[in-house]
Formats: sequence, structure tokens, C-alpha cells
Amino acid sequence: MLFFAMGLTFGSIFAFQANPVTQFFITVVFAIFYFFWGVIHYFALTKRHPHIMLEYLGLSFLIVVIAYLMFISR
Amino acid sequence: MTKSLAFFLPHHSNNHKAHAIKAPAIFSYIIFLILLQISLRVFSIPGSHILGVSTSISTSDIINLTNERRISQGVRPVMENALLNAAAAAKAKDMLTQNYWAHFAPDGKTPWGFISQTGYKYSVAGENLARDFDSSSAVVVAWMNSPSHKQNLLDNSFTEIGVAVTEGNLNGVNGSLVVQMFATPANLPSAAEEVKPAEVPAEVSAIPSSTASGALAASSNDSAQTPPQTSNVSDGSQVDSNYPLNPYMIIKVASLAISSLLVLLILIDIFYIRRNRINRALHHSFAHMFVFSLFAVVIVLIGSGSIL
Repeated sequence: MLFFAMGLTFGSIFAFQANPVTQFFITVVFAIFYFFWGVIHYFALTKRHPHIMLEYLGLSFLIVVIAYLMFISR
Repeated sequence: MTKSLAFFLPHHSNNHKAHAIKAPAIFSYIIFLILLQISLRVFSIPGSHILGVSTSISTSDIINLTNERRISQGVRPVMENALLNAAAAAKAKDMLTQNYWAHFAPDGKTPWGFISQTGYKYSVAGENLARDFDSSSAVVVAWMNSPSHKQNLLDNSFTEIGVAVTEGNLNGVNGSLVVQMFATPANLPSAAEEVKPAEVPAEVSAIPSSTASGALAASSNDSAQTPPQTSNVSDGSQVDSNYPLNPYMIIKVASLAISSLLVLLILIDIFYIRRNRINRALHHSFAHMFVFSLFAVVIVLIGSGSIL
């Protein structure tokens, strides 16, 4: 629920925030939280599946890369 | 065939999880996007000094679209004026030089001051600004969606228009600006007849003053001392319609495609897992689907510009 709330907040801010620098900053913060969400699950639920962390890391990194590329292309 | 299916669909050969949503594939998407960006940079070097290499807005399109909207609303079209073009260009340059995004310059320059500087004698004047839009139509649509900007755009008092598109660094961000200036010459009756002979009577009337959205409007019927002004500022990007590739749009489309693909494959994964009652130690398909659905929406929304 916390994660969904964060996502909705992120989306809302994005929809109404016009400053590209702020948008990129918000995206990076969100991606970091997203990655740590995966890390928390890895340590809290099982330590036998490190690919979960790798999956979260990849998706978080993908979000940051997309945000950055869109930011510098504007 | 099975291998390619296994890349996109859950299958016993891929441990019931499509390769396309596994970590190695995700990192390959990242590498693909980075290589795409590098390629676009390399191929756009010759044009990188050209205004609007990353956008698709042109002054002629802005004027044409403005007139299309005016005509469709029964308002006479406005004619392009070289002095107003110069005033718009001066305003855009001043915003970039002084690094401000506002109707009025930090040094006190007024929007109508730029028009007067060119020697243009006006009775009514107005200004719309835009920045970071993807296309000319997006700019005009944004103005039309804002009551105060729309008021300027469809104001029957205006008979002439000037537009400038420029690019530069504003508040630390590289971007482009669109400045649209409307005015009516001081000798309105004759000018108005020239511009539009027909149904819509020429009129010079006071335009309502500033609104919460940032639009300002006014008329100056007497002297140029304290002319009430019209100013609308919105945010948009520029266009070089001759440039075949728009790097921003290419990155945007590629990112949207990857995000959508991930959402689709995760949906299939969720369906497959449920249908076959497969137990996974951990699976966060719903979280991933939610995040990338949201991200896809954000990608669509971003770059649509904003209006003051």
C-alpha cells in the first residue's frame, strides 16, 4: 500500500510539475525507493533469491535512464 | 520458434518466466536506449547548432494554426507582421539573456515595450509565450485549453501577429521558447479593413486585465505612456520542420514502447502464473506492472509543456 501511495504521489507530482529538473529529481528518488523496496523484500522474506534484487535494480535503473535520456533530449 | 516464444512468454523451458522480463533483458533495454541516444547525438551533430533540432515547432505553423482556430470561431485571421516578429524575437532573446520566465522582465521591461521598441504603433497588443512543447499544434492546443490564452488567441481586436521561436538555456535547463505577439496598428480602421473585409467588424476595445493563469490583456487607445497590455505566457518547444529526426520524440517513443512491452509481458506472466497455479517464492509482477503502467503514462504526459 505504501508503495502504491508513493507511486500515485509520484505520478501526481509529475503530472503537475513542469520543471524538467524537478521531474528528473523526483524520478531518481522514486527509482531509489523502488530499488530499496526490492532489497527490503530480499532481506525480509528470503535471502535465497538474489535475482529479485537484480530485477528491481534493473527496473529502477531503466526508469532513471529513460528519465535522464528524455531530460537531456528536451 | 520455441526459443523466440520463450523470450516473450512463460514456458517450461524458461522456468515459467519470459526472458524478456528477466534482469538480463532489462539491462539490454537500457543498453539499447543508451546506444540509441548516442546514435542520435552522432547523427545530429551537423544540425545541433540549428534552432529546434530537438523539437518540431515553426513560426509559420503557429500562425497558420492560430488563424485556423480564429476562422473556425468566426474571428478574422491575423496577418504576419515583420515588426511584431522582431518584437517577439527580442522578447525571447531577453528572456534567455536575463534568465526569466515571466510576463515582465526583472529589469522592469514590459511585454509591450518590445513592440514599441520596433517602432510599431499599436492600439491593442497581446503576448503568448510557450516552452517545451513537442509540436506547433501542441502549443496552440495548450493555449486554446487555457481560457485566458484562448481569449488572446481568438480576440477579434487583433489584426496582426508576430511569432518567434528560439532555443537556449533558461533557469539552467536547455529548452526552447515560443513567443507569440498580437497587435492592432494604431490606425486600426484601415488596417482592419485590409486584413479582413468581411463579416467580423473591426473593433478596438479594452481587453480584460490579468488573470490567475498569468494572461494579461489590455489596450492602449491614447498614448504609449501607460498602455494596458495583453500577455500570455505558456511553455513549449521549437520546431525545425526541415529536420527529419526529432531526437526527443524518438527517445520518447522508444521508452514508451519498452515500458508498454514490459507491462504487456508482465500481464501475460500474471495470467499464466494464475492459470497454471504456479508457485513462486517471490514475484512482484503487480508492483512492476503498476510502476511501468504509471511510468508509461508519465512518458506520455511529459513534454506536453505548460502554461503560466
